[in-house]
Amino acid sequence: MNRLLSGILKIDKIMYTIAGITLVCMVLLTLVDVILRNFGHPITGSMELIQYGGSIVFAFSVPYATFLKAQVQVDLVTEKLKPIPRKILSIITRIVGISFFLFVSYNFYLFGWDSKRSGEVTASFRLPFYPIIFSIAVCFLFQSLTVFYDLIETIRKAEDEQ
Amino acid sequence: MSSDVLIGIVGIVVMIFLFLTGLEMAYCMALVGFFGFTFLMSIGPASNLVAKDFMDAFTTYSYTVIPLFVLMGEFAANSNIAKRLYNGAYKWFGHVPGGLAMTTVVGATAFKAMCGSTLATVGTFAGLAIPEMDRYGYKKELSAGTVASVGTIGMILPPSTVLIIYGLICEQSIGRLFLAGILPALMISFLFIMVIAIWVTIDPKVAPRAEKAKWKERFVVLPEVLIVLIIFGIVIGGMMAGFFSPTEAGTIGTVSVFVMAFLRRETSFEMIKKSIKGSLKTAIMTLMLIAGSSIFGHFLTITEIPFITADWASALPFPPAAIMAVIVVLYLVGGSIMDDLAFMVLATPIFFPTALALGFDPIWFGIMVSITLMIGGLIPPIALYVFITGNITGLPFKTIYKGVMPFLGALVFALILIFIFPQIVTWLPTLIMG
Repeated sequence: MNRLLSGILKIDKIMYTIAGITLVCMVLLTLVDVILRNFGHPITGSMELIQYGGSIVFAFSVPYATFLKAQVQVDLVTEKLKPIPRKILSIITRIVGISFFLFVSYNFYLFGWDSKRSGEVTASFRLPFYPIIFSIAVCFLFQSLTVFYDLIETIRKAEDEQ
Repeated sequence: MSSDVLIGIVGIVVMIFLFLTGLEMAYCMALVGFFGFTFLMSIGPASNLVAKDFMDAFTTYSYTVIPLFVLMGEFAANSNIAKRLYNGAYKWFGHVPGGLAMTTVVGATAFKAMCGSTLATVGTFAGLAIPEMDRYGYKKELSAGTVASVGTIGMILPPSTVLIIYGLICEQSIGRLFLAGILPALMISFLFIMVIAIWVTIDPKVAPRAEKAKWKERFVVLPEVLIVLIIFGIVIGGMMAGFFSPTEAGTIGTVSVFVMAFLRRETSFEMIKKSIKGSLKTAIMTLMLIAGSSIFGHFLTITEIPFITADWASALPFPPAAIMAVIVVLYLVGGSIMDDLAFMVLATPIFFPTALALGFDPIWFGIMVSITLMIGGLIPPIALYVFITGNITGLPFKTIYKGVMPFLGALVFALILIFIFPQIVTWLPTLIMG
């Protein structure tokens, strides 16, 4: 189990790093485009590349950002609960989260096949959309696994406290 | 009441219940939106809706503005820019009664002009200004209250993440919103300085005088402020003049702040890594909320609740101002029981059509909403800015709440002023953009 959990975290971090590098590339591309545009030589399709890059930045950041507790929660009631009911509630909400993101991932997988079959491409570079859609499906799969990681940690903490 | 509306109301109640279970807010909105849509349509369209709304959130060009402006703020927060601005303001205002607290207001306002993150502003100044005020024997209520309150100004002072998100949700010009936020933000800064001046006049012991800087020392720090104004001018002015899109303005701002820090040898690989990591984290928090709210919003749209609410509100036998006052109170209550940004993302699609139906200016409404969020960030039970100040300084929340009260009064006063005189918001964008 420990190997599985550390494996999930390692892949999450790799995806986060890819997102970070893509963000830097987007900054550089936009900067070069703005400069060249002033000299009358804008980069053709730069907006499309930024859009494509943006989807990588966002999708690949989701799992590790969740590990970093980036998602907003209301703990107004839960923090007033006793430890055991709080842990039980946390386990239930983690299971809901896992199921939901598995479902989202599966839908993106189906969506990706639809996009591949229809041959959907971007306007300027004719880049296919389906690799992005399949990537988002994988990201949500890892999002689900990250919530699973959180679930196991919650259970372990509950066992330690007992 | 039609059955669709009833289902919509049940959906809202279930969502509030789910919020209280501790399930992440973005998941709650997406889940209720999905099940509601399934109930009213069928599972096929609902499944497509979930995938499509997440896809739209991740692939829309205009959303790329979010990580870029946040990155600009992260670079500013992780370099010594804030410290230099604070020292600069200190040379000018440090010697007057309450001068260090006024310095904090001026320094944080200038810093926020480069930093997209209000939380980073509070975090930076809590670590920077409070120890300095401690050194001169300032009372904790004044020092902590000033820092916690001044961070909220960033919600309306460009480049504001809150205004960017409002603009994206309501399809309003981000440039116009940025311009609209400048005068109210400066007015609130001025009101905060007045609060400090009055406080110190009533109780001089609260803030002993600091040392007076020589005139030469004062002029030496001016280039620092000038650089900030130039970056601010390039970013905001470039966007207004149509030279850059908001995404490009975010990039130019990020690069400018980075170059400024680089030239002063304040960059390192660790600093860059930390800034990018922070930027991605904030961007995802926002994007997931937008995606969740979009799914929930589509469910609400088929229940027709936003339109029925708008029709109902505009038909009420009360003046529009009274209805707007109720909406503002709802934002205050909502913003105080949950994260302010999340509440804005959730509530704005419901109340925006009502504001339009009542004849209010959408830009003015955006600023009003943002000021209510500023107030919400300072009032219990979820006073985010008080929590951050408390966590960094280790001061009891009770002390900070006590210090925040006079500033809250100033914020409410500003809200009333803008309510009565909407020109404070609309004058500058109308003057520059027509």
